[in-house]
Amino acid sequence: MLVSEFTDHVPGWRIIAEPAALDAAPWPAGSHVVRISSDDAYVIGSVEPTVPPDPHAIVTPELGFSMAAVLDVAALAEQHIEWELPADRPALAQGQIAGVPAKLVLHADGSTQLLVACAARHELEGRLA
Amino acid sequence: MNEFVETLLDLPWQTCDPKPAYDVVIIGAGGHGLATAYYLATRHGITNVCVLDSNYIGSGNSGRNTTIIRSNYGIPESVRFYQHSLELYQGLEAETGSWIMHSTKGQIWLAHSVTTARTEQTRALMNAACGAQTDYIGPDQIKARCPQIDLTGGGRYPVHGASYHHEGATARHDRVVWTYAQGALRAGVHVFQHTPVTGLVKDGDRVTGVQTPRGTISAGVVLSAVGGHVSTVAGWAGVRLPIRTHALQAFVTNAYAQEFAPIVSSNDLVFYVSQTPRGQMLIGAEYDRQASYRTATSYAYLQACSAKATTMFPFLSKLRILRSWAGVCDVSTDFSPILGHTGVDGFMLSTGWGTWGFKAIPAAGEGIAELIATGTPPPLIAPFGLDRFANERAMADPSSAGTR
Amino acid sequence: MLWIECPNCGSRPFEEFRYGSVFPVTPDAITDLDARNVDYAWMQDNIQGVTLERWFHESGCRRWFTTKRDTTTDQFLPLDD
Repeated sequence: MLVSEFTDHVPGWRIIAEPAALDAAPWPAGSHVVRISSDDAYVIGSVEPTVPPDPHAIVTPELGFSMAAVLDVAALAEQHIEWELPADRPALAQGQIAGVPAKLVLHADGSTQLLVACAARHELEGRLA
Repeated sequence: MNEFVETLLDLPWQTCDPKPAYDVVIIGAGGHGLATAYYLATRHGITNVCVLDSNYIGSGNSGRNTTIIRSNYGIPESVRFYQHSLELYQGLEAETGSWIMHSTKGQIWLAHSVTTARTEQTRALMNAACGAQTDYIGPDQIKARCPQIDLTGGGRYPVHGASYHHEGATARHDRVVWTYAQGALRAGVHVFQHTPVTGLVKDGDRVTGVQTPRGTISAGVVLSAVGGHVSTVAGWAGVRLPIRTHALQAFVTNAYAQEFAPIVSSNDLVFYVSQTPRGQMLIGAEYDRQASYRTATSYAYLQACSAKATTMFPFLSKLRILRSWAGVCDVSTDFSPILGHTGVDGFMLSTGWGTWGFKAIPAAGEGIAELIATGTPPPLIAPFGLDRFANERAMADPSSAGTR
Repeated sequence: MLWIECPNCGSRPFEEFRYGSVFPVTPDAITDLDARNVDYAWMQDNIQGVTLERWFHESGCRRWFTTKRDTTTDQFLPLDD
């Protein structure tokens, strides 16, 4: 077993805004924020959305991801990931895992979560099994 | 060329150096360049012709294609042109007395959805109306012609039907090149291998010859019949082309002992498969998206292409890939060839052959030869002039290549 | 295997990306407006060498970026050199 059971439609928010505004945003307690790109933040958790200081910011619910806990990061990387994982924590790593577009949320405490689009969850589960 | 092969062929090479001047100089001794020389000599008596190649004859895309001959295209002008080419291929052995291993197999073009089924029905009707014998057939008839097919497509790509192109055929690519080379050489045409053209000679706006390491050669007409590097050659003449160069890969497996009779393509999956005379299964798919001049092959391509092919033909998974290769294709922005005048006096083109060049060799050679001999493009190639882009008569035919 | 440096995600295998286009450049020497339109719509530089082009990291951050590539080797080159 490389990963735990998946949870579909993880509650969260997607916030598109100026990079500087996202850098300055006060993220709510109880949420975990990953930066998909400099202008794109994904707030994981059922919390009130943050509106960053950018009048053109887009704040929208993001329910499209499935999430699982990675039980053995080293084995997952060895068997299914061609690219190198980032060395520092916390970090977000994005790319194909077992040939499926996915993301790894690497937490500071050493734990790791796997994110995949809900539509691709069964495909990825099948390939990791 | 391989010396052993050369001893088996009767190719009467000239022994002289290139003359200082010819009526016609053709750059590129592949199928297209040699066919043009052959038809200039045999149809029009023009033998003061020189064909130059940077490597050996047929070493470019003529040696890197998948040898399919068909005429089931998407627009009437193309269907008529390729149908004429297909008929010239059918008669080439009788005309030249030389064996090109021509084999009529029939081509099945699969549809895996209602939408594509409609596309294939339209194709069948349009092709039949333009003289290319094509019918729409159902799954039972497909299975009868090709028992190896999995009609469920692995459960994901069910076969709804197919257009069946009766005269679809294959021929041995090097034999086609050698046949045209032999015919041209016998008629007195000069063919120089390992003689790269490094530039064009211009007199004002007119192209008057070519530069080579063996000296400058003057020419009444210079024809570029190169594959892959036409933008460079046209650039020397100051002609900008609607051409992007892409690499196209293909591969063969080890021999399959059973007969695999037809050529099978899939419009939705984008791959095609046929059996070579040696029994090997020849498989290809789409060209690489990015423009590239690199003829390297990749495992990613083999993997993706094999996955498609084994989905429809489970027996392929028991075979092994023997060899893979890539060619660089000049793909025009409207997916049709570019033939004839360029707007620069003394400089003509036969290009834009993309992934559809092998089947066009006889008709393009014959048409360009007539254009050079008479100064007027014959009706079959006239729609494919470079001026069509400025005249808003682009020949958009993106769905007709077996590969995209 | 070919690798591409995504400015956002780092080095990833070629298969994760989608090719966009080169930057079309109509030569200044073409001055006639109609001819410029024809050139813009259809003609290609088709450079044999280093090109400047757009790529899309489809399997990762899903962002477009600009990169240089040598079309004779398919090697990707850093922008600033």
